[in-house]
Amino acid sequence: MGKKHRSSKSYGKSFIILPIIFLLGTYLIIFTAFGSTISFISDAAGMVFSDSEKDYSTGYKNIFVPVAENKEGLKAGDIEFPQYGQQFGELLIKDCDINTKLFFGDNDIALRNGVGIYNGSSVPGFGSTVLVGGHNNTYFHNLKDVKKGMTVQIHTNYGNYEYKITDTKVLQEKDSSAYDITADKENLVMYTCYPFDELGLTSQRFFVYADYVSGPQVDTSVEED
Amino acid sequence: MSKKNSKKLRFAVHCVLAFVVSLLLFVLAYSVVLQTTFLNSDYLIESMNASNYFADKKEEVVQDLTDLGYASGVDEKFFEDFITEVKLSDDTNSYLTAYYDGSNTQLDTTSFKRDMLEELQKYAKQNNLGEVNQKNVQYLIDKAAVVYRNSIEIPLFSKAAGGIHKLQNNMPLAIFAVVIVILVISAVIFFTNKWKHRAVKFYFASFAGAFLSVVIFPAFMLITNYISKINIESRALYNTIIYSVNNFFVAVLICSVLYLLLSAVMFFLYGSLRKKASK
Repeated sequence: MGKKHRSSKSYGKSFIILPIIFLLGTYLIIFTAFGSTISFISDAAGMVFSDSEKDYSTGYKNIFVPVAENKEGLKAGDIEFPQYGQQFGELLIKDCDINTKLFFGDNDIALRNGVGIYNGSSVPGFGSTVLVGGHNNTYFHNLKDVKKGMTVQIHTNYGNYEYKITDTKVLQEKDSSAYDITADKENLVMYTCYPFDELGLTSQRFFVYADYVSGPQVDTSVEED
Repeated sequence: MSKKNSKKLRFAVHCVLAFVVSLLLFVLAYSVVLQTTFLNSDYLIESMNASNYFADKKEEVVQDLTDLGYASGVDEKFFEDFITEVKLSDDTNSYLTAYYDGSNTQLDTTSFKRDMLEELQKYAKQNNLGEVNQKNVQYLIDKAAVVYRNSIEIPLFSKAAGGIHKLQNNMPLAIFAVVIVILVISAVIFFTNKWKHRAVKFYFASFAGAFLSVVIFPAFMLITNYISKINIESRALYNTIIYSVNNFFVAVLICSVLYLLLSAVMFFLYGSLRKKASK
């Protein structure tokens, strides 16, 4: 009299537990059979996927605020160092009508809007080679008119700098003697494609060399307590 | 005692067979959806059209070539007029067709170079540029062709070519084989059960198990929108990939819903057959 109907007992087991067991069994087999492939795909996904959606905007951040007077004893900690792709200054060669935005980094967005410092080189005030590139059809078009003795002014968000042009050269783009990135004396090298005002491309580049004249040198030493 | 053990053994065997059917239904769902989506060249082209790929791609290509123009005496308008959506669509179609045919994984830029040379010669005449250095012009054209080819070709696609072609060749046969095996196992379950409602119970378990296993991954991907975090340089390609992958997951979800409906049918069929059997 107290016996349950046999079919109602098997009804519960078959209709709920079996599908769940099949689900677990399916994924167990997948992970067992393809574990190494899944692990490889997962590692690859880590390289292809980022934490947030990619930003496709073509704008840039401008941190340049002109400095009225250079600060004495400028320390590295006092400076807002630019991040890659940011405008942090302007470059002027008044004698040949060059007045352009200066970016840290020479990506496409920087060179569309101004000239850019190669981010493997130094920035003004740090006592080494500052390498600045720009397009010969736009912001560095008038570089063809520079002469020795002309002054280059670089205004940054932490100080104003002057350099005097000493030389110009036409060299191959991959010529390792064109400049010394590791120089321990501050100097400026500007470069652009060559020739000017001609249809076509070459592997030649027009280099302009300038020596440091004035501007605050940044103290990068770490203070000891 | 031995009759009880025999019943348990029969039940266990039927459970294993039903599990195999569930596993094969899982494989079938993904195989069929893959065959109709990413293994089909028309699918990518349709996704590109639906996601405004060619208009966005034109903007990108014109911008990249204009950057090249900034160094080569060519003004912005030249590439704006030279690159058209029709040209991009035709070249992309040719590239994808050749890719899926297995004939070539690299875009042929011969016509691009020829057309660009013609347009540059016209440009030089219109702008009175005089004597033009042909070597420099050819260098520009070669560089522009590389930029153009890199913009049309899909990153890593050439590396996946071998795998995709193998799948393409074997998938129809694999789908056919899976369907045959499912039918054979289902027939075994049916004919080895004296009471047919018990066979239907196993069919239910197979379909319900397949529904659960198929639904999990696409539901997770669509709810978390994980695919939107993919890091792709080209905005046009990004939009197309999001569109096509989401559609792929929706198609898989539709398969899972089909399995859910079939399991519901089996559920009600079981009830009606059990009532008949108990009379």
